[in-house]
Amino acid sequence: MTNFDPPRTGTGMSEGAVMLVRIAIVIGGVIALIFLGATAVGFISAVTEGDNTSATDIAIISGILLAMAGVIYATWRFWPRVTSGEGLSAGPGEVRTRQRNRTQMLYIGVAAGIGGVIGLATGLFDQGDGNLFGGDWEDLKLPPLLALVLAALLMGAFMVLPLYGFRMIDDYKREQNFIAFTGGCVSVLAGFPVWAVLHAGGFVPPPHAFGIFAIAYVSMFVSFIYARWRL
Amino acid sequence: MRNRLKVLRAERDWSQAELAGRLDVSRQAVNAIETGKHDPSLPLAFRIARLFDMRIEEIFDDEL
Repeated sequence: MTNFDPPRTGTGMSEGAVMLVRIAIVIGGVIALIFLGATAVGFISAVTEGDNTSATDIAIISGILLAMAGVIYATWRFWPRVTSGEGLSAGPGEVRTRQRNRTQMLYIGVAAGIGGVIGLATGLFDQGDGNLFGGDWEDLKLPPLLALVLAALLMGAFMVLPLYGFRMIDDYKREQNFIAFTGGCVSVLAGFPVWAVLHAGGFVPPPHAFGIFAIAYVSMFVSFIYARWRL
Repeated sequence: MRNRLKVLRAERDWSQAELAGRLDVSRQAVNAIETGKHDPSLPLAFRIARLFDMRIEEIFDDEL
């Protein structure tokens, strides 16, 4: 969950570059919202047709809605803002700050690009009727070579990029990210046995792979928001 | 931990972004240190002290 904050005043980019970034953010945001919205609608319709809504279904729908809120928040956060005072102050420190921001924007662009390639590839070449969120693994079909490529891209997106991102951020943001990762990790360590025990007691459906993933992701997000608020 | 970072920065008429760039940290980190929400690591404290040509204990004080 490595994050980078854009500058609040001044972008360090030319007007043309600012416009390009804004267009990219709008296109990316709209595509992400359409994808998530369609996923949510499809899942809700499948759940209502099945007539057996479970707590897992509600958790999945909540997770998708949370992701949509995250996209909207990210759009607001990363929207380049140009102030009237930009360009007046150009000390060596501010020049380096702008270089740092440009590097971070490039990192975000690469991450978004990888996400887009993964989403596009799975959407175009999906050969089965399976649903990643539903856990019907038998119906999930991808060409083997594409599956290998996507696995490599996912490793890059979920392991290499975040670890590399830790090298780009300072102590302050690293502390926030450590809290976020700790929150996600602890939630899974506690969440799985708690879920299993509650299932054994007849309270909830059996543990679900995507549910565990969602617990980690949502907990990480909530922990990060908490760290940003407290630190 | 209290510190005099904001005063020292103001004396030099530097913005938070300027100071952040000189220290190679984010502007948010400078803001968090100034407001006492975040204590810098020892390497960063040394960088701050060198930048202002002062000793660490002249900038940071846990008894203020």
